[in-house]
Amino acid sequence: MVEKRFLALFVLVLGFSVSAALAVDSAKLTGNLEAFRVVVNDEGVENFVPAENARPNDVIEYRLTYTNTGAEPVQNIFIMDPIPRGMSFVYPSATEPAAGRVEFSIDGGKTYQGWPILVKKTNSEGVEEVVEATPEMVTHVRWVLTDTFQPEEEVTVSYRTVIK
Amino acid sequence: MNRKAFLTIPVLLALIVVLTATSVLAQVTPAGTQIRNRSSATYEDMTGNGYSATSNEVITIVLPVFGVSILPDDSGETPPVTPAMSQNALPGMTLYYRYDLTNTGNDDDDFSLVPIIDVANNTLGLALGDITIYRDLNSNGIVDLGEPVISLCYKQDRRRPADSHHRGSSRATVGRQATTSSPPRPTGARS
Repeated sequence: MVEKRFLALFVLVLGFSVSAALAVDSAKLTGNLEAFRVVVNDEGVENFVPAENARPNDVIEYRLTYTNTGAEPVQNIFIMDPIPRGMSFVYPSATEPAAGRVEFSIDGGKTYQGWPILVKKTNSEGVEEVVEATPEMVTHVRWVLTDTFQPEEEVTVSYRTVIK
Repeated sequence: MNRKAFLTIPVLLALIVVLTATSVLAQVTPAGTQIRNRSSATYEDMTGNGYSATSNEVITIVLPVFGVSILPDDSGETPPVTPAMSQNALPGMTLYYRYDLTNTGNDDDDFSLVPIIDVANNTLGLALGDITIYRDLNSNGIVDLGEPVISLCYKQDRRRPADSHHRGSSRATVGRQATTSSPPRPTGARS
């Protein structure tokens, strides 16, 4: 009798785990990040070279592709990327999504706003004034997507940085 | 692959010159730095359950770039119309000029410092051996006891890390009076 109860409990636990796993797989977003060095030729045409190596002042374009690899639609997608240390954000370079908006953070990703971001700054005369944040102050970029993404549907966004 | 930076020292009277070199900090990403990036996303299924995802990580390695500057510099003309520095001197005097040398690259590097004399515009009979370049270790703008000679004529180089501060000085002796002259020019070159 005890063995049957244990077996039933085991089957119940196993069944719950399988259903939980299926639930995770049913809504799955998979991200792929690529980095390219932007090389401008003599005609002013941009070429993109994989950015395995780069030098200070080189411009790097990051491309973020997120694909719905699950079996169910997903919604309310927020894609975030920190500006890597040793780089500065290039404005304007962040692509606008087809449905949604792009936002920026200057406080380590705590808060996000559209551009321009206004900040308080004390000028040389000691007077506090409101000025626009500079691209160098950007710490994170975020894309807020308002579309619902069906299975196999994907979105690609990008932005550029310059190596300090 | 030598890069040279020329300085012009306008001197009215000089035979022994003392040069000083300093440097400034530059904010460049050091060579060899691995710049890493990984994005993330949050999303919901159609019933409002929340999920998160992260991308692969990409790494970019920063390559070295090289550069050197020596300041102050003159106006660029030959001879310089607007000299960077000038002094009046009497025969036998020692003149001191201070320069700032900056490694503007992003990696440690070696530089050879060589005084250049504009012979065509110099009436002082200044010779290369009359000029000495010192490293101003304490950055006080004068040659202190024990501060090393770093001019090439003394066969001494100093390794200078990227973003480092350096000061030096050079000197020359005034042997005779002259009405006009073009001063010795220190040259910094990667070695």
